[in-house]
Amino acid sequence: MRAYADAARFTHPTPNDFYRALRANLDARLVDGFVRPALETAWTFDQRVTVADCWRERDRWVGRVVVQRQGPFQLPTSVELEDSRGRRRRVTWDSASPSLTIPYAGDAPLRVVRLDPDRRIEVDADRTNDVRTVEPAGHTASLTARVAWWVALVLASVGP
Amino acid sequence: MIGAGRDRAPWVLALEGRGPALAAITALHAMVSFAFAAVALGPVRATLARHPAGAGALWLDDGRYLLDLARLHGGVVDVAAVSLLALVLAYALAWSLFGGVLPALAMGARPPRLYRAAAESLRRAPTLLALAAVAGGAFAVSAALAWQSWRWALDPANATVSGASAHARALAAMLPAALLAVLASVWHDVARTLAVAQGMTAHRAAIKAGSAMARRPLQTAAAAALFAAGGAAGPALATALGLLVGRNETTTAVVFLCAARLAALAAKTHARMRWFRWVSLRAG
Repeated sequence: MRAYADAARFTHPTPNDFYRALRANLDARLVDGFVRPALETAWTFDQRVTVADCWRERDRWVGRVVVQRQGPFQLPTSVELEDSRGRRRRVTWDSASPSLTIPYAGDAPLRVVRLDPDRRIEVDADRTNDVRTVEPAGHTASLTARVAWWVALVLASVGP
Repeated sequence: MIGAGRDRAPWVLALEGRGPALAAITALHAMVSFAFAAVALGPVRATLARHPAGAGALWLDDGRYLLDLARLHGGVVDVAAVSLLALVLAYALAWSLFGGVLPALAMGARPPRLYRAAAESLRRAPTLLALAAVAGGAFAVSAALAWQSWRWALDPANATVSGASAHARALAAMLPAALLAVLASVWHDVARTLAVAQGMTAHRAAIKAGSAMARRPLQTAAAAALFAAGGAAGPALATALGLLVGRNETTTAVVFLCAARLAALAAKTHARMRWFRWVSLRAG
């Protein structure tokens, strides 16, 4: 910013002058892939796990994971694959293309896929689709019971 | 008139004969609540089921997951809120019709069966509805009074130096409204007990309830406070228990908490029965 301020002082700078100054000091891919779209477009950015499948082939478990991004930014991130034994491996996604298919092969079935497991991308609009289990596994009975309890208390205030 | 016996003190009202009715009322109450929660949470549950932490995901990322979930299902949240309001109104109307069930069950050593108590309540529906309408009017006046008091106390024209003292003054200004609501609630309980126990008309029950309360104001206030505290103790304990172990997703913990909550609801209804029993013995 200091370099830009020095170069543009007493002139009539345009946005291109600003980006040129940034490119001189930052990675050009970061400037063109993130800064420019962030400042010039009405963006929504969302990364998501759309497919997490796994099946058995002979003596091995194979499958595939598909992750997608929606939005103009190319933000490199990690995809973490966890099998049923708790073993994890990470794949780096440079986010250059809007989607990536990751094949899975292992001696245990794939259980969970986590996108950006370290939570480094704060601009992600929806984190509910960043994690996906291969089979619906999350327990929600306690939530239903808890909400039912509060509803019961509200109803009891007008009940018998 | 159903059951006019005075053979037992209200403090030791046993469950004899009242167990099935108490269980049925509690089960009905719980089923309505569970059905509403299950339907309202349907879309959210599908999302949560794909998270390895299940419902525990709601507390991850410092509430960010919960925020995204609420934004994602914003329409569902709106519909659920309106539906809950409609359910509360429908429930209040239904219990206005069946407002005589608990007084009928509470009276006498040998209580009637639940369906007979319900039939008795329905037979007196016009009286009970009239009493409920009067009580509802008092509650509406109380709510309006509370709102006006709150606005007056927080009006910049009446502002105090400290924001905390302004809120304290606002709460103090709402006390008359709260007192009116409590009086209306106790009066409604006494009046409908008299209507069911002695077959009074709405007009007579209303007057006699007022005079009975005026005759023994301290005794009535103490008993109402005691039974209300007794009824609230169970739900308060169950809520505290839920805060302690509510995030435990194991089946055992969920079943244990559900059982504790059902017991708390039953205890609350039982406390209400004991209160109606006390009223029928003292105000008759």
